[in-house]
Amino acid sequence: MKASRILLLMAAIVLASIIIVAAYPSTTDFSIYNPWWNGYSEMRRVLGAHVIEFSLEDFLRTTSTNITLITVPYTRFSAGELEALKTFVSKGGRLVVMDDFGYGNQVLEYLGVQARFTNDSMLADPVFNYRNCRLPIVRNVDYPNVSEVVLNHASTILLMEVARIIANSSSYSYLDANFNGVWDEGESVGPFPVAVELDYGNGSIVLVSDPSIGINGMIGMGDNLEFIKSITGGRRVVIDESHVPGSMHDEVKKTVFTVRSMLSREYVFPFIVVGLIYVSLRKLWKG
Amino acid sequence: MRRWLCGFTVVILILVAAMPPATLAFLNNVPPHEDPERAERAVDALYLLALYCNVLEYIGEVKLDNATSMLKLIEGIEVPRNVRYVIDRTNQLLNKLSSELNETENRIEEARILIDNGFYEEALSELNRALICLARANATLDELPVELIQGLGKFVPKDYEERLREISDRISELVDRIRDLIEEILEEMRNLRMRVTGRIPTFIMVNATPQTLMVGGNLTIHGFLYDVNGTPLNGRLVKIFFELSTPGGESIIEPIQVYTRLGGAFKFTVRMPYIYREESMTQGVIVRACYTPSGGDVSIYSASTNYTKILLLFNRTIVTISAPEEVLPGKNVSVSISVDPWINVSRKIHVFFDSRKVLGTTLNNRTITSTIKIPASTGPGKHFFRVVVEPYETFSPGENSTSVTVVLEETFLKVSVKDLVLYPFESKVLLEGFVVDENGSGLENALIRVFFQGREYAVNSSRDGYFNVSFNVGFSIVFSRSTLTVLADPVEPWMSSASWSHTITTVNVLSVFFILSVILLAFMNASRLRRVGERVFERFTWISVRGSRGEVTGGKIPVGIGEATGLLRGYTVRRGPIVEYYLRVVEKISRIVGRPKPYETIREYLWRAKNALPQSVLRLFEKLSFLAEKAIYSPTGCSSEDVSSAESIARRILESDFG
Repeated sequence: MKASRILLLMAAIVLASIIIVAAYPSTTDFSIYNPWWNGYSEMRRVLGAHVIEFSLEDFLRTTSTNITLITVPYTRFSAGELEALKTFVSKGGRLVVMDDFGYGNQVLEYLGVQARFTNDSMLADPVFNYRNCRLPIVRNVDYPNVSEVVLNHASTILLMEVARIIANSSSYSYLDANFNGVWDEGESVGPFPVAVELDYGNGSIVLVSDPSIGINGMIGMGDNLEFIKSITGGRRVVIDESHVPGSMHDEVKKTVFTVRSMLSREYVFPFIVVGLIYVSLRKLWKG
Repeated sequence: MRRWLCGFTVVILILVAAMPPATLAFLNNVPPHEDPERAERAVDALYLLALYCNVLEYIGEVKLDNATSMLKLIEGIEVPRNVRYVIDRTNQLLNKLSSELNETENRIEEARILIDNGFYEEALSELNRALICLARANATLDELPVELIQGLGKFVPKDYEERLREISDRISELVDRIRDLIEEILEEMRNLRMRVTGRIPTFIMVNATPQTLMVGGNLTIHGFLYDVNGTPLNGRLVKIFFELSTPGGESIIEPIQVYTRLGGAFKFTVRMPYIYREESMTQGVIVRACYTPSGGDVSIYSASTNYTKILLLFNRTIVTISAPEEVLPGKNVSVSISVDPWINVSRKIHVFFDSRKVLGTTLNNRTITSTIKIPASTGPGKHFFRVVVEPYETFSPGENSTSVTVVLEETFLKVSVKDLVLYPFESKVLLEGFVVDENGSGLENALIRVFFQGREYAVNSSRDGYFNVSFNVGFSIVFSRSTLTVLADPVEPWMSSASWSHTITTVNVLSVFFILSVILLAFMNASRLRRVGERVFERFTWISVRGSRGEVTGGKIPVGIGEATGLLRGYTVRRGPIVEYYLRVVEKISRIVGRPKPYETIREYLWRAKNALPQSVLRLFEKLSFLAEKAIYSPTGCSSEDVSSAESIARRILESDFG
């Protein structure tokens, strides 16, 4: 086989791979590109949210504070990001930290907020639940338009200062420390706060102990959607996806989209066109 | 081919290795969620049994309402289908037990009231009905523990058998307690039956004047106590209760105790409190007189009770408040408050904005208009003014509220800045602008922040709202686009923040010039560059890049004869004496064999010539072809012997007559 044909074949394979990768939907948890049950695509669509995919710090530096930033902290924050978050909230921004077993406590610790996610145990409710105790139903919600919120593998919030409790689990709930789905002697019993709001500087921080309430499979259950709308406080919503670890597929997708946007710039695209014209007309050029 | 595949695989492996991990790293390895559609239905049977313990405990403590609520709660628990039957059956038994005990209690209470009021026949019949209910409750209790423990116990995991045993013991203990309760109720019923026999009924009369009065007014209560024979009962304690005529019967003042005097009469005057309850005007207040025998009377007289009703009136205070629909934070608004009905007395009022008190004053006229400053920190949206008027004697307190919408005035940014910057000649950029309100008036002292290429510049606007910032544009290789963002935060709390964004394009003139020069040079020396490129490619890949259209021939040696020049067409070959001899020979034999095709190699042409040339010539042409190959492609080149050999072969072929 001639070298030119091999090159052509390889180019075709690479192009086909790129198209497949770009077209196939993501399956990553909490990804806004994920249309399956565990993605955030529906939440993004309903809230009309802007999404931060790369640098939270850069975004916060130039944004107005009249927004609600929703973050799912499943990777650690850098010092710069934490400082940017602090400035954002202090100046009037609204921060919603939705965390169960991630790095939400790193944010709270840095901000000096006297509240923590109990991420060493899972909230279980053998009485008020959907199908099993790991999917508790919260009915004690302080929003008039929300009567129940369905959680999914949630944690709780440990409060050490006065805060507005938005939602409490039932008195029958307990913290399943050994994750065996059965209440054992010594395991704490409820009610536990699962959503709270704290004032911070000129802004506010909302803590929700379960980011799964917003996934596609859960957002339609109970009044989860109304609850999410309520905690955003009617502001423009921005979702921070930069702290959700993506799969290799997601990273490749992002790279493909980045490359595509770079190539489609007005200073690059003409060169590509000229290059293609040159290749096509090379024979004529050479005489 | 194999090399290319290997190379491709290596590239893919590098890419894979460079990618971040594919799965989320959760603390404690707990998955963040499960698919709710596929979630299995499961029940914590131990917890359920513990809840049933609570139900039995409530029944044992005669907190039957609590027990019923708890059973409703258990009924709502989502459980697998096979557990559902057990739960429904257990709930049915417990509900039955609870309702039968409840009915027993109600009937006993009814009987007690009937006895107190002297209706002894009716009381006895109620006690009989209560006994039947109690018997049914006792029967239900007998079948309960077996159903409960056998039914739910089998859903408890084997690891928790010890806990199951503990809960079973607890259930047995609670059932015993309920049996004790049934015994106690039976004893109570026996005592009530004893009270019915051998007592003299008593009667009590009670009147109140006036029947209708204002709050704070004096009420005179009088009445008589006598027995069934009409004998007045002197010196007996009578209790008077004042209760709202509502289902709850809420008491409005403490009960008053009074002793009957000569002739069994009692009379006293009491001042009605300042209470402002709608029910006291519409449904009235019940004044109830009760006589309960005490001391030696217990075994002689029965209890008696009677009541009368009064209406307790007050004047409703109606407050109205009006405020503008839209207000600005930090600015004063005029709020108008009026009170009806108005008497010529000062009334204290308090005005709240949301939950914050913003005004406390005394109202000296029916209507006042106050100027209230909206707190500067108030956010945009709906807020409330609430006014509270304190009560004054017969005038009730009043309250009303009105909503206002807090809005912000829009701030406008008028900014001018260059779109295109030619680096390095224009590396300093001046940004100028005005921050103004909707009327175009400048806003003084507004904080202007400019964000560009990761840097922040801050200035304050002057008196007419003017501001300017000059900043440096960073280095750009060729082209770059950067977003410039300007944020304005006015000092006036009623003005909104404003932002303005713009994209500035930077072109590095030097780089563009350099690139254009390179492209021009490359065009001018295209063929030379191509030759260099081919050599480099051949050196590293051992693949010859040849052919008029740039084919890569994969080891074959291309050859062709130029039509115009007589040389190999389209290829750059090493020219030398051997190649010259070869081309001359090819010129001659092409008359028989035909001209070499552009795609043919030296060997392919030799192969074609085999059938057309005589053997003697063919052998010579074969040798010359090999020498030509060596001359063109061998890195070592040809020796002088090769040249002389080629010359000799070429001469012999050219001189021979084979055409």
